[in-house]
Amino acid sequence: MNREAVYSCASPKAVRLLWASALLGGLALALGGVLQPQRLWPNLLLLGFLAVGFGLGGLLQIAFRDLTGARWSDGFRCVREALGATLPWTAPILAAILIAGVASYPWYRPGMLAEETDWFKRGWLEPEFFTVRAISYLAIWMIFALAMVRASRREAAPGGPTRAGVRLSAAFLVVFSLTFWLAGTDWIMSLEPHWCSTAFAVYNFGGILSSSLAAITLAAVWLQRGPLKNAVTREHLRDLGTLLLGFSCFWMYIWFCQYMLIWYTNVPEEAAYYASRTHGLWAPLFYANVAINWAIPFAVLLPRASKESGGILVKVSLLVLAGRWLDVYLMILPSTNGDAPAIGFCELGAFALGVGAGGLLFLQALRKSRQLSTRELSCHAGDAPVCAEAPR
Amino acid sequence: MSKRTLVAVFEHEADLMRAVAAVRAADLKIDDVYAPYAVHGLDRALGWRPSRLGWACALGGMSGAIFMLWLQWWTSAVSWPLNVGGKPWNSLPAFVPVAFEGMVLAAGLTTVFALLAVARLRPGKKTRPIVPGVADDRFALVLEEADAAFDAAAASKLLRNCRAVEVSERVLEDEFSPLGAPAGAARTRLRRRLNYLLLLLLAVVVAMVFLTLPDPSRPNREFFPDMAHSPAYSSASANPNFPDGKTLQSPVPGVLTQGQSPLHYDATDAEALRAGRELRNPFSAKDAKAGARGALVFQTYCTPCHGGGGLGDGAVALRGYPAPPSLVTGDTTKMPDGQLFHIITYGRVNMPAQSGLLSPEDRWAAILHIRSLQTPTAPKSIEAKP
Amino acid sequence: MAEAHHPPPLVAGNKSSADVTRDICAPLERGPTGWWWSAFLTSASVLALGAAAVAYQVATGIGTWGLNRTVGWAFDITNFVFWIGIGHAGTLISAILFLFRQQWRTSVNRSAEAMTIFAVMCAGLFPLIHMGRPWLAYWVVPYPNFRGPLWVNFRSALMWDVFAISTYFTISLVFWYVGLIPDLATASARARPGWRRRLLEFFSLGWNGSYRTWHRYELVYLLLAGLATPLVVSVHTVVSFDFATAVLPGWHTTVLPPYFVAGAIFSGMAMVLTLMLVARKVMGLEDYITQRHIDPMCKLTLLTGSIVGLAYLVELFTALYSGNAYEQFAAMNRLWGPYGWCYWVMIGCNVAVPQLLWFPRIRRALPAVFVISVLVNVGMWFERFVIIVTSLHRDFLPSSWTMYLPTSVELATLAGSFGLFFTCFLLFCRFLPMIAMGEVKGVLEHGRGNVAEEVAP
Repeated sequence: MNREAVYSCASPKAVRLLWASALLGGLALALGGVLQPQRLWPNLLLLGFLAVGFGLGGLLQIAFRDLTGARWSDGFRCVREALGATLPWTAPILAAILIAGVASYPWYRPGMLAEETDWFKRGWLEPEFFTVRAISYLAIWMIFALAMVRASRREAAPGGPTRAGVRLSAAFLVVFSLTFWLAGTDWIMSLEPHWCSTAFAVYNFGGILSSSLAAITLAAVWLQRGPLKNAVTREHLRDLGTLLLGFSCFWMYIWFCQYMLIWYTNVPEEAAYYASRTHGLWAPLFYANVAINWAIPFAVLLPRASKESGGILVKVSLLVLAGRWLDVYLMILPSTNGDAPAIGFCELGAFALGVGAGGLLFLQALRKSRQLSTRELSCHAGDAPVCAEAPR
Repeated sequence: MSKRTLVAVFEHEADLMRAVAAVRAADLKIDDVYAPYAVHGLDRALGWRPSRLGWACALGGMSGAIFMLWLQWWTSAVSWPLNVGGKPWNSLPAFVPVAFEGMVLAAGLTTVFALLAVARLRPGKKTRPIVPGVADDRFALVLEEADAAFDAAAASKLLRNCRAVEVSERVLEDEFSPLGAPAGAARTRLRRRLNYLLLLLLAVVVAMVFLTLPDPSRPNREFFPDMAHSPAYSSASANPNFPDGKTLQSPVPGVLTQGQSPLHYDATDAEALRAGRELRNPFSAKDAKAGARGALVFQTYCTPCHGGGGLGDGAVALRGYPAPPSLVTGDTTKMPDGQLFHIITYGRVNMPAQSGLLSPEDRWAAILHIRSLQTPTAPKSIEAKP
Repeated sequence: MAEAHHPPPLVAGNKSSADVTRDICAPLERGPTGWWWSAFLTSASVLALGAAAVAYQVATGIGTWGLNRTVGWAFDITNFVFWIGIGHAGTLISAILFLFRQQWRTSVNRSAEAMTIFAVMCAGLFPLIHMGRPWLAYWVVPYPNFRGPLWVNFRSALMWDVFAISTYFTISLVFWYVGLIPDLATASARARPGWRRRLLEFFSLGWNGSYRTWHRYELVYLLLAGLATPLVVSVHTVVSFDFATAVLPGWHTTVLPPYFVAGAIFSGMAMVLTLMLVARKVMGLEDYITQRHIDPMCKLTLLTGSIVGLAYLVELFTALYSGNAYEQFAAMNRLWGPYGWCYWVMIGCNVAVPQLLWFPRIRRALPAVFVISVLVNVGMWFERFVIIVTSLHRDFLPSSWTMYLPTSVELATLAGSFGLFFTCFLLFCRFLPMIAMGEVKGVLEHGRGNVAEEVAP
């Protein structure tokens, strides 16, 4: 099989559907922008933040693999590379959304941070400083994405990571942990300028971990039915299922710590964040978030049999991906949308655009994968146990 | 139940794995394998299905979690609802940690006890290795000679081809244990007698519990009285530890209550004059707030005798009590603030001491009001209505 | 192009299974060495000192501590959190690394688990003493009683602690014991007849190496690892809830649970390194605890240390960002207040020093690793002290600001807990197989078997 195999296995019908979803979504979003202009920007922010999160998730998977030397997933490493390779496309879009929307942040209004004790926040959220920071985070991530995906694609087929690759991955983890934390604070947490939570960055980290792993699982099952038939084994699926279960529990753990501590202490400026989300029409979405991101995947993935079944894994992955959208929706929209959630052209359009454009971007990146060239595939075919064993 | 078996000994894991594959290919029945460690992948080679102990774990975990959730809800919301920091009776988020710990504890213990039960392991169980070194570096493959068709010689050859270092025929007693006959008959008898004795003892104890009826009129025996009976004396009871025999002691002479400032004057007129020389009103005449307070204090405590304008025509005086002198004319106008303060504090002639009623600040404020009554522009409007 | 790493073998010296049994059972079978006796006598006498201090304070009362009305919680809870944290690395190595199939864990997991159990014992000591009347400790258990319908307060984080710590101790003990059973059988088969052999036999539960049992045992071990993994996270999470559910600045912060877990593993990993570096020398196990074991432990120390450092930064940033005057004051008081030197000791030992482990040369220099691991333990002790005391000693009311200093009784109790820990550990080294023989043999033979298979056809 060759590179074209990927495209042929993504049937023309699927590609057409993705195109249609992207175009219709874009159209709906434009219409929504005319009808409900105040809801356009929050949905764009949601879309951009989600998309960049998937790219970062791909890079994180590359870094984890390089640093732990866990080679079991090398059989489908093209997936995480493709995920990371979407970042150079999505990061500039998010930068544009952020620059265009600085004025939409509540702290942009004068007098919002007038308290004397807000001196630090006033300086930190200076619009120019905010913009410079946003651009530098995204630029740093883009550079890492280009370098890491390149290094990963260049790697010799069955060998371990190169020394340079390991160093790059270690540097990425250090830089990522610092920038991702600040980026989440800047872009999302500051939507509620009087609220702060130290676990917020960890919470988002849990979100991108589980959602990017869901994306990888989805792609792995799909590729198993196509060009990577021999490279993705039942053991791989079981490991992916176990990891998905673990990451989902990690997300739940951080969710619980943040929620429980704020619920328990009931400090007014903190509790306001959850008060608005657990009342009125937001409440069903709030509880659905927990069910979709943790309870259902946990219950389904617990038996061994379901971790080995591609069909179940696909369904759970789709659920977790939808859950990630809902999770970010619940971070952003209650701050900008007020008392009740609304599903309209903006929301549906952004969702459809995300699915369509994201899918096409991913396929495009996958096509460039060296792993799917004939030579390497033959090298991988049938030697799955090499990947399945941990290094001795 | 005993059975005839063929036991082959191997020195290497790889040989064992090959032998297992060969034996299964030859369609011979494998009774068991003995190994010094969990050989990786042997279960798949033997074609054994995964153990179902996972179900014990799941069941134990679920019941642990449900029980702890129920216990917390029942104790906190039903049996003993106690307001803790304004939290709801059913504080679900706060109950999660303990429910989780209950789940882990129950799941872990259930799993281990299930293993011990299923594998028939128990403390003190006697066992003998099927071949020496099986706990060290040897592997033993045990084939069951299921029927007469079993060809021991052929099987031995097959095993020796897989580099078995030793092949022998053995009769094993028990399905699971390679142990020979159980312990000697005498010991069994002894154990049985001991068991009967213990059973009898148990019966006696149970019978005693049912035969001795509780007497509700007598208190239970206390082993740790703890805080049920306080060793402290009650304040009104006699106390042998003090010379006066009282528990509640009078304060030390000259002690001040909290917030009180000392006033070193006696209740005599000479001392009043000294107070007049030494004390100053902490409030200035321009202090509107103190003035208003003074007016209120004066109206509440002074008007019944002195009258609203300080003329000495209060309701009490009008009904025959000796009238006080006017505050707005005569001597009073010449007295300094300190002397007035002394008079208000300790009383004079028919006027009782007001120190118990008025705080020092209120007394000073009232003086402020008296001064304002004394000035010609003083409003005479605050009249006490008889 | 890529140069693939070919790591050295996990166990040096090309050992066979029989060698493994002989080497690991050797310390049990020969008499104790002079080193062992001197270490044992030292730690036992420190333990005796601690026992005397405990007896004195239980008889006299908690007034013998340096606590006051403002700082009502200091040395005891610092030591409690410190010891609980030490325990966490044991579970990480035995359970989490098992799930991740890290085979280097096999040589160190047994002693790391033993360390967990002893550390939790030391930790449990402090709340028990702080109760004042430790013989009434059973009152924290919710059982039907005749004191009215009187139940424990399940909404209190301290109550969660009771459940978390007791569950942790029980499951760690069970996990450790289940791992020991096959090795006890191996040791008893070699032991000379006598009381020791009888004891080993009694506790090996009649293990005969049947693969039917091994087959189930493997699953049970996996399940226990799967249970212990969330358990270890939950335990330090609950410990962090003791602080985070309060409204005190510096305590109430939502990142405290994951940050405490990382800190716990950090300190525990450092303690494992300290113990292993000494034990491999003293017990003559250099072939079993090699660079292949020390290197990943150093890396884990570096990783968790950096997470902890990041958490310090996040806390500081968020305190300033929050716009809350009390949070800002508490943060500044930590850095520059009267206990500021503790903060900088903590930063130096926990964040700065472990960064040396980035360099492979330092990871290979065992004396350097030893010094770093000891410093990390010092730093992590100070971290707990900083969190607890600096938040308390200057509270919302400046009139009640005060300082806290430990008394000699408290210092003796802390020393005594170290005595207890090392005494238990030395007894463990002497009487039980320190390394999981079954697991090491499995790793060794499996590697060998595959090589043979590749050559054979």
